[in-house]
Amino acid sequence: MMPIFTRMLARLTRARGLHTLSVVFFALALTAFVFGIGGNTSDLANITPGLVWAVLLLSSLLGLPLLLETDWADSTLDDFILSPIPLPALMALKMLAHIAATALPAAIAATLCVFAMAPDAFSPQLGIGLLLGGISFSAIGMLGAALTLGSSRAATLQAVIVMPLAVPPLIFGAGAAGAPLLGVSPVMPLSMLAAFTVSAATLAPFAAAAIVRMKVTTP
Amino acid sequence: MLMLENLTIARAGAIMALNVTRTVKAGTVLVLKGPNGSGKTSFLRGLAGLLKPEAGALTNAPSFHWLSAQPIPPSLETPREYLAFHAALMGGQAGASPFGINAILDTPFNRLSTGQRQRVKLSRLMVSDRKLWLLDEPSDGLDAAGLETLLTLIASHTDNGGIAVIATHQPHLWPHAETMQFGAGAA
Amino acid sequence: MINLSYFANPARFERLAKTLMPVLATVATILLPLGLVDALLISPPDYQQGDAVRIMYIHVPSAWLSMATYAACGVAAIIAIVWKHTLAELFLRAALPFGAAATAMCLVTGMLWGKPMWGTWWVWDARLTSVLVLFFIYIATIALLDAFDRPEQGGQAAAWLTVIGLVNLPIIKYSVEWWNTLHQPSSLSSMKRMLNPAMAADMIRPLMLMTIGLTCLAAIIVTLRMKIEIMKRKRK
Repeated sequence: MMPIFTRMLARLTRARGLHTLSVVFFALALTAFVFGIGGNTSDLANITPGLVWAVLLLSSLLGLPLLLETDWADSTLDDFILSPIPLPALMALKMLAHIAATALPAAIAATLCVFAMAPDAFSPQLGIGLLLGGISFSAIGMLGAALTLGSSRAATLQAVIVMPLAVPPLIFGAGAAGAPLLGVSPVMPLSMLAAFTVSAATLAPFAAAAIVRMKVTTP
Repeated sequence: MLMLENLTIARAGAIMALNVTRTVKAGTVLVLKGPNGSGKTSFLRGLAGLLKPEAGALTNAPSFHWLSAQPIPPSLETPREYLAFHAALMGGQAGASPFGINAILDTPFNRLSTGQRQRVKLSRLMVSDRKLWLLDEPSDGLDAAGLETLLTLIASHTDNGGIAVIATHQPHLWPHAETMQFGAGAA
Repeated sequence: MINLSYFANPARFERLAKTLMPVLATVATILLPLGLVDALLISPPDYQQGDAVRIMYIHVPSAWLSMATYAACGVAAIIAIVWKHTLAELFLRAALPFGAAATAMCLVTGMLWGKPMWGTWWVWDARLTSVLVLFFIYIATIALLDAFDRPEQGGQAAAWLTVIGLVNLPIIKYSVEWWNTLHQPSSLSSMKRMLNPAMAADMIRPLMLMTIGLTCLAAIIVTLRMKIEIMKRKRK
C-alpha cells in the first residue's frame, strides 16, 4: 500500500507543490477578505472564525483538478480498476492524499490565523474542528473530482458542485468556531461536524469508486 | 486459452467488432490490425473488462496484464517509483527488466526520451506473472534494440504457454502471428 | 450504427404520454383559470398583509414543485444508475431545468413578497436560504448534464449528483435551520409567521386549485420536454 500512497501524494505535492500553494492561497484569500471588509481589528476579531472557515472551503477546491485527472490522462485509472485492491480502498487512499496535501496545511494555517487575529476564539477544539472540516471538504471534493472527470471545464464545475454540498460542515464548523465569542457551548455543532465528517469520509470513497468505474467503462 | 463467443464491442454507439467468435489457444500471438479509429483499442479494452461488451461473452480468460497506449508523462517521478507503484497495485514485485533500464532507474521521467519511457512501461510486464498480455501499441517509440527485446520477450512468453493480444500499426513485426482485421476489410 | 433496443422503452413512453396528456391538459385548463380568478379576485386579503398575500398562491405551489421535482428526479436518478434506464436519464434532462425554473420562481416570488413584509428584498430566513442552496444544487446538476463530449456520461454524472444531493438535502436543511436560530434575532418575522397556520378555507381553496393546476402543467411541460429529447436523439 505504501508505494501507492506515496505516488498519489507525490502526484499532488511534487513540482506543483500543492501543500505550499494551499497555505499561500489560504493567506491570499484571507487577505483579500480583509481588504474588502477593512482592517479594523475588533470588527475582524468577531468574524475571523467564520472567515477562516469559508476560506478553508475555498482552498480545498485547489487540488481537485489534479486529483483524478492526471490518472485519467495516463490511464492509471484503468490500472486502479484492474488492481486486486478494491477500488473504494484506492479512492480512500486518494482522499487521504488530498487531505494531506491541502486540508492539513490549510487547517494549520487557519488555526494560526485565528490565534493571531481573534485570540478570544482560539481553543484546542478549534484546530480539531478545522481539521474535521478539511476532511469533509476533501471527501465532498473527491465526489466533485470524480463527477467532472473528462470534462473540459472540470475546475469550474468542481467549485459549483462542491460548495452547495459543503454547506452543513461549513455551518457546523463555523458555528463551533464562533461559539466562544457568542458565549455558547461548541459541543453540539462540533459533534454534528464530526458525525458529518465520519459519514462523508466513509461514503465518499465508495461513491467515487462507482462514479470512476462508470466514467472509465462507459463505451 | 481464451474463448470469445459472439463478442460485440461498441464505442460511443458505433459497433467496432460484431459477433466475434474465436478461440485463442495458449502460445498464440494475436495481432489486431486496422486503421486509426477502427476499434482495436476498444476491442482490447473489452478483453480487459474495461469496456462492457454490447453482447456476447469472454470465457476462460486467464489473469492478464493491460498496457494502454498512453505514454508515461514526463514528470518528476522516477522509473523505480513508477515500477514499485505498479507492482504494489498488481500485487507483484518489481523485478529485473530485460529492457536495460537499470542505469536510468533513478532518473526522473522528464529527463528520459519517449523510447526510454516506453521501455519502463513495458517493464511492468515483469512485475507479476500473467498468462495473458493485452498490449496496445507496445512498439511505439522503441529503437531497434528495444524492439528486439520486446519481440524476444513476447516469443518467450508464448513459448511458455502465454498469450499476447497486440494492437499495432506494425503488424509486420509478427509475421507468423494470427491476425484480426478491423475497419475496412474486416470479415 | 445505433443500438436499436434503445427505442423500445421510449416507444412505450410515447404511448403512455398519448393517453395521459389530454387528461392533464383538461385538468390544467379548467383549474388554472379558476384558481387564478379565485386567488386574485375572490379570496379575501389578509388582515395584516393586505393584497400582498396573493403572492402566496404562486409562491407556495412553486416551492412545492421545486421540491417535488427534485424528489422525482431522485427516483429517476436511482433508476438511471441501477438499471441504466435511458428513459430515466431523459426524465432527468427534461425535469432538472424545469425544477430549477420552479425554484427560481419560488425565490423570486419570495423576494417580491419579502419587500412589502420586511422592507427588504432578501433576508437570510432559514426557508429562503435552504431553497437558495437547493437552487445551487439544481444548477450544478444541470451544468453536469452537458459538460461532456458524450451525452451518456453527462446523464450518468447528473444522476449521481442528484442522488448525492438527495442524501445531503435534509442535512443541509437541518444545518441551515440551526444556523438561522444561531444568528437571526428572534424578533424578525420569518416566512413561517407569514404563512398563518390557521388559514381560512377561503385561502386554502385557491391554494389547492393553483397547486393541482400547476402540478398538471408541470407534468405536461416535463412530458413535452422528454418527447423533444427523444426526437433529438432519433434524428442523430
